[in-house]
Formats: sequence, structure tokens, C-alpha cells
Amino acid sequence: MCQSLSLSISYICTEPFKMVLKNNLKEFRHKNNLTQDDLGKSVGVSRQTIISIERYRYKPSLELAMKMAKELNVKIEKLFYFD
Amino acid sequence: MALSKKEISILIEVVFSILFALIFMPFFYENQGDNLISINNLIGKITPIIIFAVLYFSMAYAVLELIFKAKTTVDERDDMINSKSYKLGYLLYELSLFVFIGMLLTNSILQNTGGIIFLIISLLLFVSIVKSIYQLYLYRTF
Repeated sequence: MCQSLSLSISYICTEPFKMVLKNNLKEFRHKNNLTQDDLGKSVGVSRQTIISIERYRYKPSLELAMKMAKELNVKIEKLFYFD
Repeated sequence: MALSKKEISILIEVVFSILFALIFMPFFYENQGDNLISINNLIGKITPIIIFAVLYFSMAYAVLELIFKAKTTVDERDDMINSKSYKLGYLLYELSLFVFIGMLLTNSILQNTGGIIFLIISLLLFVSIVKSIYQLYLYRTF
């Protein structure tokens, strides 16, 4: 019982930190017929930054995430999600 | 492996540090034991260093601008990468300072001006190269 309790506690304690921020940026960008360069220019970042975000390497700031959501006409919670 | 304009400009800095070490460091190494590097000798070495640096950077950046005509955008990812690499550079500078003071107190050769100049330039080159390589690594992985 102690063991299962300990496992449950460790699950509760560690689970929120295991969540990975992912996005549907590539999908929505294709839907809007935009290239990485186009999207980058419209939100004021480089093409490399868009590539990094699409590959989940770089987590954008809230401001940049909202700019991208606005540019792609999508709600921010649809564009970015926890996996 | 295609490199971006920013990555190439970091490589230019790394290459400069390596060239500086290869061309100018032997002079400082040879003069380590001198109690006083003569002013004329030092000026005679500083002038070519300045000329070399100006020529190297103006030529390298001119070629870079010719190859990459598009203007680069500096964004939050660049700021994040720069802050991480400069933080490492700052930590290394602090460590270097302790190394420098430690060597100054224990090593008798460093009581001479030549030895002190050689050690300072070596530490600065080391920190500069490590910082730039880390910056390049972050650009490739982030």
C-alpha cells in the first residue's frame, strides 16, 4: 500500500513537469498557404525561429505566440497545446 | 550543412581568434620572461594587430554581405541564444580572473610584465573562443 501510495504521489508530483509544449504551427501555416519566411516576416522573426518552433526546439514568448495565432486566424490554445 | 548569416558571422569571430593566436601569440609567448616589454616593441606589435583586425573584419563582413544580401532579423531567439552564451562567457571571465590571481601569486614568471600580458591575452582568447563555439552550438540546436 505504501508503495502504491508513494507511486501515486510521485505521479502527481512529477506529471505536470513532464508535459511538453507542442504546436500545430506547420499545419495551420500550410492551411494559410504561408511559407516559413512569409510567416516569419509577418510576425517579425527570422525563418530559423519559425523552423525551431515547428520542431519544438524553441518555445516562443507569449507575445510571439499571440502574433502567430492572429496571423494564422486561429485561437492560441489550438495553435499551442500540452502533450 | 547550410549555415545562416548569423552562424557565419560567429564563425568569422572564431577564425579571427584562431588566426590571432597563430600569428601574434608567439611574440607574446617569447617575451614572457621579459621584465618590461619596451614601449617601442609593444607599439610595433599593437599596430599590426589593429591593422590586421580592421582589414580582416572589413573584408570578411563585406564578403558576407555580398553572399547574403537579405537583411537579418534579430528576434527573441537571438536574444535568448546571446544571453545564454554571454552568461557562459561571463562565468568563464570570472573563473579566469581567479586563475589569473592564483597564478600571479604563485608563479614567479608572472611577476614580469611579459608573462602577465601573455596570460591575460591567452585567457581572453580562450573565453572568446569557447563563448563563440557555444553560441554556434546553440544556433544549430535551438
